[in-house]
Amino acid sequence: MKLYLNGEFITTQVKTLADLLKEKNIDVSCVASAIDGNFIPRVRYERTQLQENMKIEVVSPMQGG
Amino acid sequence: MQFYNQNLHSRLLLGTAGYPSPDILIQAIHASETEIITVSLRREGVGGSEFRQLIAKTKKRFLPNTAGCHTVKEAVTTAQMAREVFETNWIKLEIIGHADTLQPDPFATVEAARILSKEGFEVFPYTTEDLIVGEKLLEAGCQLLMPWGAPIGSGQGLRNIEGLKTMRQYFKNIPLIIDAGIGAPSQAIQAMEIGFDAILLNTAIAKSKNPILMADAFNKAILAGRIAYKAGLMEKRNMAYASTPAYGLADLSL
Repeated sequence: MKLYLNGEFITTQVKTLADLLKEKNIDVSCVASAIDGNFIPRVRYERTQLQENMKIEVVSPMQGG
Repeated sequence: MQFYNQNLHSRLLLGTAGYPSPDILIQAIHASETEIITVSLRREGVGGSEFRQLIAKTKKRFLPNTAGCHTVKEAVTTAQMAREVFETNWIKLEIIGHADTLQPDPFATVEAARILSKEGFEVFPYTTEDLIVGEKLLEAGCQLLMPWGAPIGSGQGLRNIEGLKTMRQYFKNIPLIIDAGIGAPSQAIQAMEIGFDAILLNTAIAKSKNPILMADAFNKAILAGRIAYKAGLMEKRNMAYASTPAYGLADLSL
């Protein structure tokens, strides 16, 4: 399956958002995610099914003004 | 002073961006004696967890922002993500109307404030000194307002001081925080002297030659401005008025 992760076009075999984050070695305790502009709470990662061409954004804390 | 029922002592809210090093950032936070630091969310992969650990050590309250958002949808989603990551209902709502001027989009800000307030967020809206926009933000659920002093990062100080004075008089019991445009401690004092409740700063400290010293300077300036406001400034006069009494003046004429 092909989709976008933080603006990069990637190919993956995994089916859920939880598995994608695991595959990318992302520590879910300090990130938040959105798919196609909609917030996905952490508790829904396991049951969030990935689909072709989804735009996934995974963000973490950064400096800000 | 209270923001959303939280008691606060410091009237300085400090941004965490653009410091020469993480160590200087931490020392500047301490020197400023702030209780609230602003933070943001960016794509994972550039040291996010390290930054969170760094700022967690400061034991300060986080005020995440929606900086960089241009639409209601982007801001709402960013706020939802920020609540999960930073574990706070506080959100500095910033919806930019134009990428060059960084002027807030008041229409989108009011709409997003309404949505976020209904979802239980405690919104700190970045706005202008416009009174009607301020009223609409309060109607939308905001309990405080954050008018700009001048465009973000410009360091121009209070560009429309008369408008800001009017705003202060109009919203008598609403906490008003000057957000953006303050470049020097003297400008922060000016805002505090006319009765603003607090100042949100970033660039003026981060981009000074010595951010730690400048954080100390702003802390003291804001305190001095607040005391001066409570003391009440003298009335201005059009003509000179001798402060030394004329009575008893020696006659030394020849």
